[in-house]
Amino acid sequence: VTGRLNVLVTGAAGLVGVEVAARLAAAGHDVTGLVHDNARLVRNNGRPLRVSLLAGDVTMPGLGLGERVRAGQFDRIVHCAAVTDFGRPPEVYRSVNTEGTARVVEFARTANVPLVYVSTAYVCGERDGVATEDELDVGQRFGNDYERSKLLAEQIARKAGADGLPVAVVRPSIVAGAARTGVIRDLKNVYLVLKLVTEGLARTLPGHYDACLDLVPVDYVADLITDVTTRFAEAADRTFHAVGAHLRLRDISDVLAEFPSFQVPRYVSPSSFDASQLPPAERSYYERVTSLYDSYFQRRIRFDDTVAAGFTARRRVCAGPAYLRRLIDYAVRTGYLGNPLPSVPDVLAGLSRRS
Amino acid sequence: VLTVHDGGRTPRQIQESVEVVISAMAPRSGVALAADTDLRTGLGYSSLRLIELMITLEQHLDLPPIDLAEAGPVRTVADVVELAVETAGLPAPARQDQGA
Repeated sequence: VTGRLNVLVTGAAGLVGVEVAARLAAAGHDVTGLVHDNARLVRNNGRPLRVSLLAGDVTMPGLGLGERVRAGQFDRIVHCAAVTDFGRPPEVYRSVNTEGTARVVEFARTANVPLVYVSTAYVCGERDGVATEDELDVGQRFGNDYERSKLLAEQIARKAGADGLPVAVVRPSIVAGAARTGVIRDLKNVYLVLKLVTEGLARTLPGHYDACLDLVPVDYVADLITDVTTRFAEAADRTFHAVGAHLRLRDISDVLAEFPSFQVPRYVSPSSFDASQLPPAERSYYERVTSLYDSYFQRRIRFDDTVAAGFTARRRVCAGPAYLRRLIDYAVRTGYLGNPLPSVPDVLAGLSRRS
Repeated sequence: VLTVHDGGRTPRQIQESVEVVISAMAPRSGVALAADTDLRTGLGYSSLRLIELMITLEQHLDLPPIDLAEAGPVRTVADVVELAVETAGLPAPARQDQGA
């Protein structure tokens, strides 16, 4: 670190945002977290983080900060704020992820503050093969509105870069537990899918056994974003894949089968999958939850991270099954996995007996 | 028009049934319900358990599908009651009457 930086982190209460803020603060930088609904910063390990906070809203002009703050007082802006859970209405993704990024870019531009934009590796969309860090819009289709909103946002950030704003982009894949311990603050997204399949609530899925998921430890993602922020001169105008363990669905099934109480899903060809043929309870889960993740069971995608690997000395996690075991072990220890609540049919039967 | 689903029930009857289902599905048992009881912090509901709550309500009360994504914030017992009553095509009960 060559000097003390004044850094604004948007989405500072989020999983990645709080870990980036914590690393920057620990390195002696002045960190201001922009927060919206949640003004309590809790790190991935459950401990509180105390940094300066600003209540704001990335969907508002000037990030809703009014006259309280000028962009020029910051040396860097790290834009982590985003809606990342699935199944929300399209306008939510558009408003927060795409238009919110436009607002942050606009804010940064008023004083030409270097911007680190946190995108997603899944801007690659629904395609097979290798996605490289220099690719963006290659005419891909998207698995969901989240991915589409993030592609549009990254285009806005990149256009601002082409117009003279110093910009670097970091693209995490599926953010999961810490590399060595598996610890994770928020059990959602991939954990939700693991819960559904291991409890037998999603037994049959439209997918391919050789489709691939990329799970990346939250600590690696936060480390890389921190490096990009503090070594911005080297990172400007570049895009970094923050990716980790490459897992085929076959590998995931093999690991799940090691746990005696877990169910293991069956994948059927998407062309022959028919949700109407599922048992009624499973169909309810499929239509409301599991179907949101369909495209992740079908993509045979790998993320090339040559640029990131050449930039940071930090080692990314390589052994996918070993990492997945750590994630599952942690989720079992917390009671999230392996400890199912009474099922919907069980509760309905109980209600029927009572009435 | 959803009145075909109300089966002659009153908002108050639906409210009582909804509260029974919320208690039966709650990850944290033995909590006395009030209108402002928070589903997550008070009763331990996760996003998945909330979806399961909707599936159970639909089947138990014979309601049409409830889309949580379109429903707006559902944080408290009163929010669920209001959502179920509206889904049944009935006028929402006055909030001050709930939990009484």
